[in-house]
Amino acid sequence: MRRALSLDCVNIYALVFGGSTCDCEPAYRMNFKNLKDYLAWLYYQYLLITGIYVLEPWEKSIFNFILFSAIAMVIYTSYVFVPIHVRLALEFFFGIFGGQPESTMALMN
Amino acid sequence: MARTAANGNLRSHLNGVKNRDIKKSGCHSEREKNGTGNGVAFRQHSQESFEQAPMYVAVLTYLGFGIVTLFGYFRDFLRAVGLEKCHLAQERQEQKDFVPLYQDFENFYTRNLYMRVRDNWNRPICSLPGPVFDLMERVSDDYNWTFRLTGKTIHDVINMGSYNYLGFAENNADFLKTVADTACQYGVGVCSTRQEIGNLSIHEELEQLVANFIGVESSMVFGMGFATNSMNIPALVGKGCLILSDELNHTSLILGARLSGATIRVFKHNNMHSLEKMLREAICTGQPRTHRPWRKILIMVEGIFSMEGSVVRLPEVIALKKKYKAYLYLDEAHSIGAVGSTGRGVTELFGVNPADVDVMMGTFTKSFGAAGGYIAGKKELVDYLRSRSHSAVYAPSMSPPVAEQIIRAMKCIMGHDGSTEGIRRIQQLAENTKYFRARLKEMGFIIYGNDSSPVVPILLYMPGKVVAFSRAMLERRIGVVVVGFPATPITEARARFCVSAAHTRAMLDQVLHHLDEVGNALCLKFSRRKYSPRPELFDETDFELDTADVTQDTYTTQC
Repeated sequence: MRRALSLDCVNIYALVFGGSTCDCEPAYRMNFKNLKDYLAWLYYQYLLITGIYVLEPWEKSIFNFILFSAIAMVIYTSYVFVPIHVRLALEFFFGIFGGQPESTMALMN
Repeated sequence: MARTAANGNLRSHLNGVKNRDIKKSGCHSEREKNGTGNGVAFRQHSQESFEQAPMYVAVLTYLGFGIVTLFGYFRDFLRAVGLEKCHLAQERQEQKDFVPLYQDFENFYTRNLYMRVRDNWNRPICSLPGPVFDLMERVSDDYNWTFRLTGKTIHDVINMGSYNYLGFAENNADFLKTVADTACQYGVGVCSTRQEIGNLSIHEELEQLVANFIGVESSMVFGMGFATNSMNIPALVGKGCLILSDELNHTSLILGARLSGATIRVFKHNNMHSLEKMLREAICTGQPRTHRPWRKILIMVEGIFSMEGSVVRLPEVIALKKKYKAYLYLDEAHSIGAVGSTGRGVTELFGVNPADVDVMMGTFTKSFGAAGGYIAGKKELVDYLRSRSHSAVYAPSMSPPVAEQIIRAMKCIMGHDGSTEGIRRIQQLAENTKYFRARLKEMGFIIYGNDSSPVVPILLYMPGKVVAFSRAMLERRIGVVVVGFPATPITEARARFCVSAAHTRAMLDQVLHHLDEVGNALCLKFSRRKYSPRPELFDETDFELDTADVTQDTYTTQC
């Protein structure tokens, strides 16, 4: 059989990272044998949607690094500051409502 | 409400009050017959859909383009600084103070987006581009700046990109016997123009046959399809004339219109309200500064628009042109041979008399498997073009073997060669088209265009997906054509499939199967409509009544 490309099984990793095809679960049939294949497919979707798919590997790395750092900073900031802000907000609101009956009692007395 | 200038009677409009009081007795039956016939054909063939994708798709498309543009600026910066080698042409050092040559947005786009992914276009093929073909395998070591051929061939790739509508791109020795004989008899080159010594008897025979095929008085053929438009429109209109051209007309029509020097106004694609508004305004206001009446008004439309697959609303355009006394130029490049029950084009599809269209133009490149174009119409028009067309005076005439190929293809379609091969191919094409479109809609892709047009664009939208789609389909040995920014709007990138009569049901099933898988893997099924297998259940009676009334009403004005 004269075939330049093998058609049957296309490795999802080959899709994403380029390189030679090898005998693995075809992602196109959407039945992922394991979590690793599913994550690889999700990464592929991310590449397609953001348009990163057309860039060279070092450019992909730069973009991923920037995006990952931005997300990490957002997570860190929310971890540090969100509980404090929530606590202060709750104190503020309960302070208003909780304080009212006390002041009327004081007036009556 | 509107008034026609010609007879002063009060007439109704496309969306106005129906006024049936004024009738002339002589043409009552003729009007009804014409109206009903065209109404039925028009209703049947006006199923067009241009579904819009969900909002998130547009947002993500812009996001993708935005990110790649940012990286484009970054790479341009690296090239300017010198950290990276520039592969493209650059300004010379001595000319640095001159006006820059290489700074448009389109050059930016070429450098930074097209070059990255250009392995999807201009793929070298090494066999006849019939329903299947062979590709030469090529790889790139430096991200598509240069290519090298590995020497291997990819065999039997299903061809969904060639305009091979009736399958005449074939190299069967029996069918091509007359072509070979003609090459021996007449030679291959003509080396002269039609007006000098390049007018051969085979050209006369071909022109007679084309005129018979289309059903008009006379026709003239030219060696190149693009040049048929660009060189003949300047001969027909000039300064002081008005051209009303559809939004999505082909470049050859636009070039011809610009070369002619006439005023060009563009109306919205296939939108009769827009066209009528422009006609009324043009007739009322006249030429721009002097307000003199226009010398001629020419409406330019195409039979099938090649990027959308939509079909022109011919009965309505003809009604408008008759009402406002304009001329109609119909470019049937994709529709001649491909639509209509005997392959005569959009005039047959809608049941319109070909004599109603003033200038019928078409090309032989698509359905006839040859090259060249024709213009057909009344004898006076064609005789005028024989002496005034730029093509007739300066361009070499059509090569004899090519003319013979057209003759044999046309005879096959008309049935003059004694077999039913022609009509079989036309029916096969119609069946393939219907099947392919129906299955694609069922799968959930967004398809544009008319249900009877063999040009099927599948919308892909995002730039990353366009590229991935083309590569994935090639891996599965299906050759597709994907189209992006300069030819389509920037957010509507698409893959354009051209169905052929030479495709068997098995080939189409294979293509559909792979499309299904690739569509799932790349998440391309954006359609939000649910298609039932029996489309007659859709209730469109109100809309149809309106259309039928409109058609009848506009014909009323002609009596």
